[in-house]
Amino acid sequence: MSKKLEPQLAAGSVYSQSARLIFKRNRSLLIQPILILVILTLMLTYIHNHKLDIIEKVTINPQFIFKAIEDHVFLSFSAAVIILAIAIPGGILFTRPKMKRFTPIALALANIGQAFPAVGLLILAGINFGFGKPVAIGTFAAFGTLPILRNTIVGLQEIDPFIVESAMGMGMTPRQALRKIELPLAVPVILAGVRTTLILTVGVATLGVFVNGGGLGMLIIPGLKLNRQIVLLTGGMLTIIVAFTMDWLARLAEEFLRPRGI
Amino acid sequence: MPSVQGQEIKLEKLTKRYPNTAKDAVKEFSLTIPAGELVVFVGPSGCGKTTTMKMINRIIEPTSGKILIGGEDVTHTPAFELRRNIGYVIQQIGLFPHMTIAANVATVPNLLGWDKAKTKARVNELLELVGLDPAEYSNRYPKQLSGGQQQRVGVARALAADPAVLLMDEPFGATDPITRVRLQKEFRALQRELKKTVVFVTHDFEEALLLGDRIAVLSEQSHVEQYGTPLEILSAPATDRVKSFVGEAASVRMLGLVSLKEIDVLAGANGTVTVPETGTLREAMEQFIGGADVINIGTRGHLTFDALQNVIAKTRSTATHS
Repeated sequence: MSKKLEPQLAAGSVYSQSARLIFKRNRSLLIQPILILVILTLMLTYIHNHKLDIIEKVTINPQFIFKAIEDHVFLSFSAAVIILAIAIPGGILFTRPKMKRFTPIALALANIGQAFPAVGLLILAGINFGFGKPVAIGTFAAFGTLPILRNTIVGLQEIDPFIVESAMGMGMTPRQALRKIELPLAVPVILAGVRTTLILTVGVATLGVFVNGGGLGMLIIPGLKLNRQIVLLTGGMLTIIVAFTMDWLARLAEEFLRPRGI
Repeated sequence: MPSVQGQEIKLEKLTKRYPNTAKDAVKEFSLTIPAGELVVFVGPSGCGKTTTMKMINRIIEPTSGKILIGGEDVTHTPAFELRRNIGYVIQQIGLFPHMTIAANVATVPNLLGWDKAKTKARVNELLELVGLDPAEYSNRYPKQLSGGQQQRVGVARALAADPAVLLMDEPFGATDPITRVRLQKEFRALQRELKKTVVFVTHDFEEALLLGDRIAVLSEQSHVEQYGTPLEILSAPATDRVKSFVGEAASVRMLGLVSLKEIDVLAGANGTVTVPETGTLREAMEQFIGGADVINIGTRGHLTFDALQNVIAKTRSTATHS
């Protein structure tokens, strides 16, 4: 261990890493927002240099676009919150000794959710439960549960069993061992799953338009149907920007929440 | 902080049978471990010695039998309560990688709800006790320490709430030979000072001889082949299994266990060579083999070769008949 590290480590608590240190160590965290800005600039330049016709003006206007982005973020974010609320407690549950034997069943179910074609799932849900945002959100949640569920299970299973044994040997109750030892150690793996899920839901949220859920699909689908390339491209690029931004925020969370020492 | 001394552990017909197995992993194991003594369970791999030890703090729940600590039946005490009063060190150490060394050592005091100042003072005291400078190591993380240092932290963590009983499962097994010997010697000195009741599991007979006040030699299903002091086991192995486990050169090893402070010597200092009285019979014997006729035992007196032979014979017979 190099001597140079010590002053930083002497600083203390688990989450005390300064933002500057994180960016210094992980330069790609700075590249991503720059990339987002570049795409945004390219897109705006493209739109600015293009003479919009009447049809294009219906969609390419600030009011419509902001509404679409707002809906899109709302759809994917709501789905992600539902997924978090289900998949993390679920993952914990399926690693407890009494429930371990059900783990393959839970993973199989989540696998089916993801393996099913998203459009098919969405339309089926729409026909059965009616159109609108709630149905769209529910479907996206079913679609994106797998990564977090799997990562929570794997993250908890991968912890060295002797660490848990010594926690129990010290006299921690199972609940204390989970809260103080197992969950903090599984955080990096769980957060990686959260990132994957976020990007996945931002992607599938473009399909929300099929069940009248709004979102950036409102640009992409008409763009395709009416053969207006600029509308299609604007929708596509905005989806990328939203996905990249979500991903960047999740990576920041990953860096800040990762326990020190591992 | 005054140290809590060991309590007697009494195990009565402890049995462990795993589901879907034909025979007991541990069968009716009964043993009394006197207060303040270090007892080593030694035996070949798979003999059930670790299982037996882990039933004492019920990391492994016994199928039947009784555990008494300090006369109190703890077979059905809530496991987490029992364990907070029993130190636990395992070969894999199991330090919590996301916590600093200080936080690791403070685990049990925190569970017991000690106040911060008391915990901090105790952590510093313990780190010093195991030879780690608190100022330097408190805020480090486990992976920044060497294997030997990590194991010292493991011992400090087990001693944190000053338990009467300590369970150790091959604690020095994963360290290199030089570090291992140093840790063993340090731990022996520490134990003589603290006088905890220690159950120590190893497959290394040398380690058992070095550390044990008593040794229990175990065979399959944790059957006790012999239970006695190192001297008793070396001078009078009870069964062939013990004999094979003790191995070659038992007599020479035995000499290494007898302190020159304890033996009868002839008065006066007539010798040409002097062996310090902190040594053992083994060093005295080496001088005779080296050609000396009479040797001085520190300032206590002297020994001739005949006198040495008498001492050995006497040691052997007391060990056998005790």
